[in-house]
Amino acid sequence: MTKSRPVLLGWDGVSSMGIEWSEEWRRARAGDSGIGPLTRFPLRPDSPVRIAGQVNLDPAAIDPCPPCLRPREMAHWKSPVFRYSMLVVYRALAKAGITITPELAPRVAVTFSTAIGGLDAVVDADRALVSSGALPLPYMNPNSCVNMIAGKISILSGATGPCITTVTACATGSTSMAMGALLIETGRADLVIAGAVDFPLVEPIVAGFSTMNGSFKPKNDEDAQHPEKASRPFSIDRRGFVISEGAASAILASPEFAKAHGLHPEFELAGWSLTSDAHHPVAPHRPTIARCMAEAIASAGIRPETIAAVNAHASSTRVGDKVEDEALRDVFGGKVPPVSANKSQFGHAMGAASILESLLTLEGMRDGVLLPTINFTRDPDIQLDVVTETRHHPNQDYVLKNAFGFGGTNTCLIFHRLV
Amino acid sequence: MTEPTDPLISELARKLVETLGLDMAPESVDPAAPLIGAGLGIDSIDTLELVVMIDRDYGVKIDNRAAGVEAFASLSGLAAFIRQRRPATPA
Repeated sequence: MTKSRPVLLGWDGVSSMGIEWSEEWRRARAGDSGIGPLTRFPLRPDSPVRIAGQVNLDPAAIDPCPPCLRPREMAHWKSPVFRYSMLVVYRALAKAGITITPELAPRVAVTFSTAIGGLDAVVDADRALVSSGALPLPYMNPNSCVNMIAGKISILSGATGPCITTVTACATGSTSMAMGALLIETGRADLVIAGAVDFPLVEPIVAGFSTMNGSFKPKNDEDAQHPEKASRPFSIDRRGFVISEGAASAILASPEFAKAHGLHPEFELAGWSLTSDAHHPVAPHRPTIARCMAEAIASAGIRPETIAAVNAHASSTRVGDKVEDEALRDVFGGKVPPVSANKSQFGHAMGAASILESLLTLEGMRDGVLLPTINFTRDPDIQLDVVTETRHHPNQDYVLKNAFGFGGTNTCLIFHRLV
Repeated sequence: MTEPTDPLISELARKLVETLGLDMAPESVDPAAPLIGAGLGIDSIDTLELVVMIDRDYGVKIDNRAAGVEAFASLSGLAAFIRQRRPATPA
């Protein structure tokens, strides 16, 4: 274990596949899909998007209901981003076995973030204002303040160290971990609450992803009637991403902190890199994506051939998957490790996608399996070894996790199994 | 405790519990007890939400300190406050 590399102490996530992490992992291994009908708002007859990956979280149905989700605690926090994020952080801290005492608090940072935040609160308030002149509730603005989620996590946990929001679109969750690593590596924190949440199933956001040809568009009745088959990253018949909700949190710590607390972590975040494309607002860029992967691998002190598997970004768009394929071949030559694309099962949870997929990567390293990329039909232009059935794959010592976002922002992580 | 038989008091009790997520039944809110600074645990942020709710649902503004003291003296006081100021046509 290199001295300053952060270790992972615990994690949790909620997604279209469930709200209990062990169940989500079981379903992922089984090759299930979390995609179904979109029911977050009434669909207009001509609504272009009719399916989604929704989080089915009813606090009243959780027994016992965590204190942070009680109605009194959530009274002013109407946006689901607060319910999702408070739950995953509460559970991740519990799984890490850490209580943030007043003595620890100044050395605990929060990098938990979001790409879209509580935008639904603004949309609801605007519609009421326009239609009836109703003034917004006082807490509408705090609901939509993009760093409020991190602020609420600070209040929940008692953390009083750096509290930053790492908004990088669909790379937000991975960037949250990378910035947590930076704080630990530079001695600015001993413990970091990382993660991300997003609730993009807001009518104009959903419609906007469709008009820009980003989200899935059914081609025929078969497409329309089988939501579970819609998300098809790397496939010849990929038709855009399926929009999902989700949240996940990971607790990072310095190895010294873990040792001092008698903890024996299984994984470390061995390397990471962030690059910017300086190229196009939404189209990916091969050279800077490839450089991001290469720099992450180099920062872990290993060579590309040591990487046992790749958890892809896999946007499921024509151009996104093509460029990721090309960039992977730039880095690995003709020997690209096997590739899994979890968005085929979970959909695209925006800023939360990369942290959810990172946690799935860790579970796969622990269990010695690679998750399937469901709904896959080979594209002759993409030569990757796409894992299509849950594959036994032991000895995953190092795995690369890719994440790329609008604005040309790229984040790559290298996870290392320690035991 | 006096049981709220006044329909407006019952309605306000329900909205109070729903708006603030209070862990109690609406009928258990004492109509005579102070709304703020007493057992309900209502703070200044909650009060802002109630002010907007009362304006939105009843067309009654609470826009100065004296009005706030009078309106939030108790649930029955709030009902009386709304009745005195409510527009002839409900908002």
